Amino acid sequence: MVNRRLSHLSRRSVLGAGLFVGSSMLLKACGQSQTSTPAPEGEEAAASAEGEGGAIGGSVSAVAYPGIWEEAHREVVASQVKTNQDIDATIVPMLANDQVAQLIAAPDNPPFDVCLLDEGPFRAAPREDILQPFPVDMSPSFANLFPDFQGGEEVWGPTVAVTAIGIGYNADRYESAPAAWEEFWNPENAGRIGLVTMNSSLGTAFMVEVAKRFGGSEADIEVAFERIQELLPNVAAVAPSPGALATLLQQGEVDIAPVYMNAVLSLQDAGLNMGWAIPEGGSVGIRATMSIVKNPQASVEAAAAYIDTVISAEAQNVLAASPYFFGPTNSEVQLSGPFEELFSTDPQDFISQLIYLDWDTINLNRPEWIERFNREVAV
Amino acid sequence: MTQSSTVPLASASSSSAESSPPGRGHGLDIEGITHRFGDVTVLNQIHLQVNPGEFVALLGPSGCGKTTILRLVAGLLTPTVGQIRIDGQRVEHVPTHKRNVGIVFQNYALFPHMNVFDNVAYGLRAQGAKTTNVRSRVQDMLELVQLEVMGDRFPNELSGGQQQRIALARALAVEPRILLLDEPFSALDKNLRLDMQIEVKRLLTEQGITTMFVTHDQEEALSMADRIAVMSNGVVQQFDTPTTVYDRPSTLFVSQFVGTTNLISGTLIQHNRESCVVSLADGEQMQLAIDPDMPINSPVQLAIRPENLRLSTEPSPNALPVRVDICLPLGAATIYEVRTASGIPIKVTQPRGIGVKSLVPGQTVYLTLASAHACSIFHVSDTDPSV
Amino acid sequence: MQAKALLKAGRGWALVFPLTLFLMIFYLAPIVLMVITSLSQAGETEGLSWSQYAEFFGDGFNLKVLWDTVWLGTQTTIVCLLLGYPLALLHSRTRPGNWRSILTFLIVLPLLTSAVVRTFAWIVILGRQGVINSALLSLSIIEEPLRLLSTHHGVIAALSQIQMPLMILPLIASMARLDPNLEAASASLGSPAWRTFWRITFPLTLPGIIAGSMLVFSASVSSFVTPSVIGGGRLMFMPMYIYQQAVSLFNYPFAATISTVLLITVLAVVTLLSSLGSLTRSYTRT
Repeated sequence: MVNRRLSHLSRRSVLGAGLFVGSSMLLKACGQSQTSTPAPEGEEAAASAEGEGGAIGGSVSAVAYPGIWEEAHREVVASQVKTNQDIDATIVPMLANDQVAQLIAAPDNPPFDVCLLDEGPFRAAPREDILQPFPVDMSPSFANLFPDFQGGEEVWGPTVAVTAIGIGYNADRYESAPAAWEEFWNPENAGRIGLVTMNSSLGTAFMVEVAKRFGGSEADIEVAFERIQELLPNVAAVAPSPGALATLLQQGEVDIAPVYMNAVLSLQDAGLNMGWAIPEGGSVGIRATMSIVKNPQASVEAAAAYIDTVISAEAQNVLAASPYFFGPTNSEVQLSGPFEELFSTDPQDFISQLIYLDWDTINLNRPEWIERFNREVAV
Repeated sequence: MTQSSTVPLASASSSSAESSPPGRGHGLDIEGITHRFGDVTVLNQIHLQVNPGEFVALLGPSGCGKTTILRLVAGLLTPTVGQIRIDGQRVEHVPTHKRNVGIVFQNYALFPHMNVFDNVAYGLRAQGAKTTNVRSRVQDMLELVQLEVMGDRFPNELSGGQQQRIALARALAVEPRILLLDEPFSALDKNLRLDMQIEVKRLLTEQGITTMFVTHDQEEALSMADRIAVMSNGVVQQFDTPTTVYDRPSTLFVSQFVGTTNLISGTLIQHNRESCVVSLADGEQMQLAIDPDMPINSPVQLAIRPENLRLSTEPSPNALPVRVDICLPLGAATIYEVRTASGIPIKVTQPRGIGVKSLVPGQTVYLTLASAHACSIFHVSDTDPSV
Repeated sequence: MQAKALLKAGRGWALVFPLTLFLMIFYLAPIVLMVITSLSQAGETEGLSWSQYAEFFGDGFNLKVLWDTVWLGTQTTIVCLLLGYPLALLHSRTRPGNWRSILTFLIVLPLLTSAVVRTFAWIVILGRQGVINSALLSLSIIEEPLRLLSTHHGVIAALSQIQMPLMILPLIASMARLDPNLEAASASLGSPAWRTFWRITFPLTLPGIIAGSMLVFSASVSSFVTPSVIGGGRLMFMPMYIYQQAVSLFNYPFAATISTVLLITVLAVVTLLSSLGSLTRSYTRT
C-alpha cells in the first residue's frame, strides 16, 4: 500500500515533465516547417577550416524523431559535432513519413540535409530520387559498424541505432513481467491495454509479431486483424504515435502496451515504476538509417561528418546509456545497466538477440493494412 | 424651499386613486432619498412630492443627480437610504417590471429588431394581453401619436420625432402609473423640439398622467412643467412652479441657473420690516422692498433680472446713474449693457416699439428697479454650496 | 462622369492588387490545385474524373468520419455558446475597471498559450489519475476512474475550452453594441428578466452568436492536435484522415478529395450561418 502510494507520488511528480516533453514533441511534429536555414556555408566553412585546421565547419540540419531521439541528438550529437568539427547542427523534429513526403514534394530544395528513417519507410521510399550515396571515405567510424549495419548493397547510409520492441507495463500493476504478446488477450488485462496505429513502425511490427504468434507472417497478417477485433473491447486507448503511447503508459491511462525499450527505460530513469519485457519469441529490432539527401544546402562534408558523429563510439556510448538507451550499431560500444540485465554487455549479443522483420514484404501490403487498421479500431 | 402642495398627499393615496377615473394620475412621493455610488454621494436627502396628474421637471446641470432620481423611481436603481411611494405604497424594492412606471429614454431605446407595431405592443404582450386587445390598443396608441400608418416600419426607418412619438406610445400603451421622460427632446433639432414639446404636453395633459421629466434646458422646464425641481450637486435647491422659481429663486444657484440674472455684490447696511438698504461696491445705495433675514453688515449678492430694471434719461430718487456700453436691438426688446460708475456691468432689457427712442452707447442714464420686489437678495458666505 | 467614377474605383482596386495577387498565388492557387488533384484518378490514369468522390461517398466509413467531424464541430459550438454566453454577459455587465480587465485577461488567456500546451493540460485534467478522476475518487463519488481520455466527450471538453475565446470575443463585441437602455425599457414595460433576455438581449446579440459559432465550428472541424491527442487513434476526424491519407499512405488524390469535402462542408455551414446573420443585420446596422 505504502509502496503504491509512493510510486503514485513519483508518477505525479514526473507528470509535469512528461507533459512538457510530450507537448514539445507534438508542437514540433506539427511545425515541421520551422527548419532553420543553414547559414551560407561557403565562405564560413572556408574561413573556419583555415582558422582551426582540420575542422570542417559550416552548418547542417538533421532530422530526429520528435521526443527522445530529438533530445538525444540535440544534447549529444549536436554538441559533439560542434566540438569536434565546428559544425552547427540544427535538429529538425519530424516523423519518418513526413520526411519522405517533404523530400518528394521538394527534391530540389529539401528542408533538411540529413534524414532519419526506420526500415519500413526507408525501404518504401524512392531512395534514388531523394537520397545520395553515403561517402564512406569521409566517415572514419563507418568501418567500426557491425557489417549488417553498413547498409550492405544499399549505399544510402549506415544504421545509426537499433531500438527494441517489447512489452511495456506498469510495474505497480504486475507482480511479474508479462511473458508474451498473448498476454494482451488475458482477460485480466481488460481495459488496460494500449495500442498504437500501424502508421508507425512500432504498430506495424506489433501486428506482424502478433500475426506470427498466431500462424501468420510478414506477408499475411489477417489473423492479427482477427485477434485485434477480439481485443478491441479491452483496449483502453489506441495512440496516434509511439510517443503518445509512451505518454499514456506513463500517465497510467494504459498499463500494458507494445513500446520501444528506450521509451520505457527513460521513464524508469525518471523514477517511474515501469517495466519492459522481451516477449516470448524475441524482441523485434527496428533499424534506423541516416542518409544525406539529394541537393542538400549543407556541404556533403558537413552532412557526412554529422552522420559519422552519430555512429561514432564516442556518441553511441553516451546514447546507449542513461537516459537515452539507444541500441548501438558501433561494435566498440560497451553496454551496461538495463542492457546488461535484459541482453548483454556486448553489443554483438544485443543485436543478434533481436528479430528483424522483412520490411520489403511488409511494405507490399502496408498501406492497405494501415487503412484497414484505422477503420477497424475506429469507434 | 417652498412647496405648494394644494392637495394633501394622504388623499391622493391608493383609496382615492381607485375612485379616480382611469388614466388619471397617481401620486409619487420621494422621501429622504440619499443615494451613493461607492463613496460618491449623488443624491442627498431628496424630498419630492408629486401630485397625481402633475407634470414635474427635474432641472439641473449634468451630473446633478436628476437622472439618478429617474432611475430610482423606475426601479433601475435601489436607493441607499429613503423611501419611494407610489399612491402611498412603498416601491423601493419592487422590481422594475412590476412597478408599472413608464420611461422614455433620451435615445428613445426603441427595440431595433421589432417594427413599430411590435414595439408598442411589447408591454401589452408582456402583460399577456389577448391578440385582439393588443391590436386595438396599439392602434389607439398610434392614433394618439398620429403615426397610425407607420406600424410596419422599423425604428431605423423613422425620423427622430417619429421615434420619440413611438417611444411615448410604447410607454403609454401599458397605462403606467408614472411616466418618466429622460431628456426627451435633447436629440431633436430646434424647430422640431418646440412642436414636440407642445404635442407631448398636450398629450400628457389629456391623459392626465403623472409625469416626471429630466432636462438641463431651463426654457423647456419653464414652458412645460407644472412644477420644477431645480437641482445641483445632488440636492434639490427649489421645488416650485415655474413662475415662482423664476421670480423668487430661493437660492443664488437657482437665480443664476434659471433665466438670465444680474448679480451685484454689496453689503446690507440697514433693514426693517418692509425694506432694506444695500450698499454697492462703489458706495451707491439701493433700497429694496424686501426684509432679508440676516444681520446688518452681511455681505450679499443681489440678483436682478434684466427685464426688471428700467432705464430713464431723467434722474429720480433711488436711481443709479449708469453709462450705456452696448445696445442690442432684438426684435421685441432691446438689450443694453450698462456700467455703474465703479464699472459693474449690468444687463437691462427694455421693450422696444414705435416711438420708443433707443439709447446710444456712451449716454448717461438712470437705472431703477421696475418694482421694489423685483430683486432677490442672498447672503454670501464662504460655505454657501450654491455659489 | 461615369468614366471618372470608374477610374476612381479602379484606383481603389489598384491598392488592393498586391494583396489580391498574394492571395491568388498562395491561397487560391493551392486550393485550385487541391481540387484538381482530388479530380485526378488513382494510379497512372490520365484525365479528370469524379471517381475519388464516388469512392468517398460510396463508403460508409468515410461518411461516418465526415458526420463525426461535423457533429464534433456542432457539439463544440453548442458547448462554447452555452458556457461562453453567460461569461460574455458577465463581462459586458462588469463596469470598466480592474475586474473587467482581469476578466478580459482570463478570457483571452487561452489564446496566449499554444493549443498544444492547452491540449496536454487537458490530459492532466481528464486522465485516469487526472484532476477530475482524483476529485471524484477522493469524494467517493466513483470507485473506479472514469474513462475520459480517448472519448468523444473528452475531445469536446478540451476543444470547447481551447476554442472558447473565438466564441466569447464576438459575443462581447455584440454585447458592447447593445444599448443597456433597451433592457431597462423592456423591464419598465413589464417584462421579467427572462422575457427581456429572450425578446431583447438574445436576438440583438444574435450577430455575435453567429460570428462566434462560425469561428468555433470552422476551427473545431479543422483542428488536428486536440482530437488526435485527446481522442487517440480510435476516434477519426477529417483532419487526421487527411493527414493519414497524404502522409502515411501517400494517397494525394484521395487526401485532396477529403480536404475538398471538408472545405465544402465548412463553407456550407458558414454560408448557412451567415445567411442567418444577414437576416438580423438590417436592424443592427445603426
